[in-house]
Amino acid sequence: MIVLKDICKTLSGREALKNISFHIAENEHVGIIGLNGAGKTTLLNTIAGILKPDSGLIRIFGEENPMTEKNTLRNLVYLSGTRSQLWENLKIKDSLDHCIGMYRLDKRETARRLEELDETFEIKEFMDSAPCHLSVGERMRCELVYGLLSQPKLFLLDEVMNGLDIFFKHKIMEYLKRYGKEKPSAMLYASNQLSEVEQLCQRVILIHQGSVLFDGETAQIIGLFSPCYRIEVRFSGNLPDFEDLPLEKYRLDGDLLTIDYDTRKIETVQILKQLMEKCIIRNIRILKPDLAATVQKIYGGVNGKYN
Amino acid sequence: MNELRIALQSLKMSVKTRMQYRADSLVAALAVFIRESANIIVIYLALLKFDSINGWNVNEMLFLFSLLFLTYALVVSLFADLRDFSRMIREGRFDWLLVRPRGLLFQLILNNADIIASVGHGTLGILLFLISAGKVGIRWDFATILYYVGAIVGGVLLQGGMFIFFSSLSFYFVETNSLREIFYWNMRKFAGYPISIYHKLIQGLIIYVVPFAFVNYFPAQYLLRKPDMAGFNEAYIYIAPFVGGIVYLAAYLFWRISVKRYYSTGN
Repeated sequence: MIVLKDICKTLSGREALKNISFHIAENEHVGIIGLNGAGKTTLLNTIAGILKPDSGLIRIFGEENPMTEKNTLRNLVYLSGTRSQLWENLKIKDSLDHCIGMYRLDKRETARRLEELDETFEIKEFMDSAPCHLSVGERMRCELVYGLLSQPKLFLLDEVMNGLDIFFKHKIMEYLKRYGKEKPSAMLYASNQLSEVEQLCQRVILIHQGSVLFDGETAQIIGLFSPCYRIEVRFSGNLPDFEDLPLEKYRLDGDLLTIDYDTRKIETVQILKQLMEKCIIRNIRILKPDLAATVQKIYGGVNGKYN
Repeated sequence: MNELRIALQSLKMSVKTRMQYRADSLVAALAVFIRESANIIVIYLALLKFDSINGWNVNEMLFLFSLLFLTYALVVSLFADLRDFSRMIREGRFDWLLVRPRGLLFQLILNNADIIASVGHGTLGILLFLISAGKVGIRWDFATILYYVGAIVGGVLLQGGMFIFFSSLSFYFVETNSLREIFYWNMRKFAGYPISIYHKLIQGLIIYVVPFAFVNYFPAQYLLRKPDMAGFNEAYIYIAPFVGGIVYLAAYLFWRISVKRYYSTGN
């Protein structure tokens, strides 16, 4: 669905994108992650056709030079948590009306679609308000509906969960997942909220200083960069002896024992076995690293956080 | 037809936007009207002393002015976003037009109509026309009406073309407002009077460089036939309605070339 090949872009003397290449297939949800200024937004702008790369090739829906193709644009939506597409002083329903005209949508079909979207986004009550009278999250919900109205095939989403509470975040996440399953569509999801990316995207592209540092399955990046699991156990009895096990480290704090270990060197069962033989376990937690911990680790944060 | 529908819808939205604060908007429109009228009243009073300028009496002068105001009223209802284009780029609003499946100029022209300025200038234009048109000896037959409408359309396209031209410059320079201030607004002030009163240099500027003369002076000459036309090529009054189209087309082509720069710099 999208092909990028050797995309380079220099913006005001800074190499914003360096030889970026990847393919994104239909029905793929891809997380774009990276530190501030890594080039996430520049990348999305380039794909959306707002920026023209200095060199390299972009193909969307089999079409080169997508920025001049109205057909490409009709099937693409680019939403950002920081910039609004809605008309600042007009009622939400007027903005949506405008969208219907812009994208040449069928009026009746769109009304039906709006009903359907309302189940997730619950914006009906804002129809007669202007964006300037809504909260950040409420406005964002309207913004998303505006983008989804045209039933796009390609989503470029940049921090779109801005200001949303956990309930809506969850609902919208589920909606986006469902949308991807029901309609042929691809999504690029740029966010600093790595837990969102982890939930929504099977694949992540990690950008660092304009280059792709990692591109692969979300599970894989975690396994690759932070294979350390952690066991937290509250016990009574004697402290078991771990000298013969290849652990990374362990620490005792009162009756709380914390064990970090690398799953490539030792299996969880072996440690559990040792524990159960030597002491009485009162409470146990096994923590596996998440994307946030992994990324922290990649960037040199010493001990990733665990959840 | 979809284009026409969306055009009407956009106009409706512009009106709605301004009507959010109805009283404010009406006061603002009234302020524009008073501001512009004040200029005209000063000139009117001055003219009472002179009787005529280069053969143009007061009513003929007002007719000349009415063309400026009427065309400008239409220009700001169509080209408001292009008038404020550098601000639009600065605020990043231009980016969103790029990702929508419509032509850029189509969106810019439709997006925003400055109804307030339009009503202010338009009311004054109509008023000046009503005061003067019956007293300047024009026979309003089919041909003159056709010419008049053509001249208005041409004048709108000409000024619209200038706005497009100055907007295109925003892709090369950060600050273009002062350029526009010098060339558009100052020339417009000159265009309020019969251009025969000026030095040849200014006449040249206003005919060939910033061709405001084709917005009001030459069209008015077609209808009024004042003797000072002898100083200019007679053909100008016949081509006047078409100059706008040519300027617009040239500006459009310049825009097409210039907008490519935006894609490569992003600001």
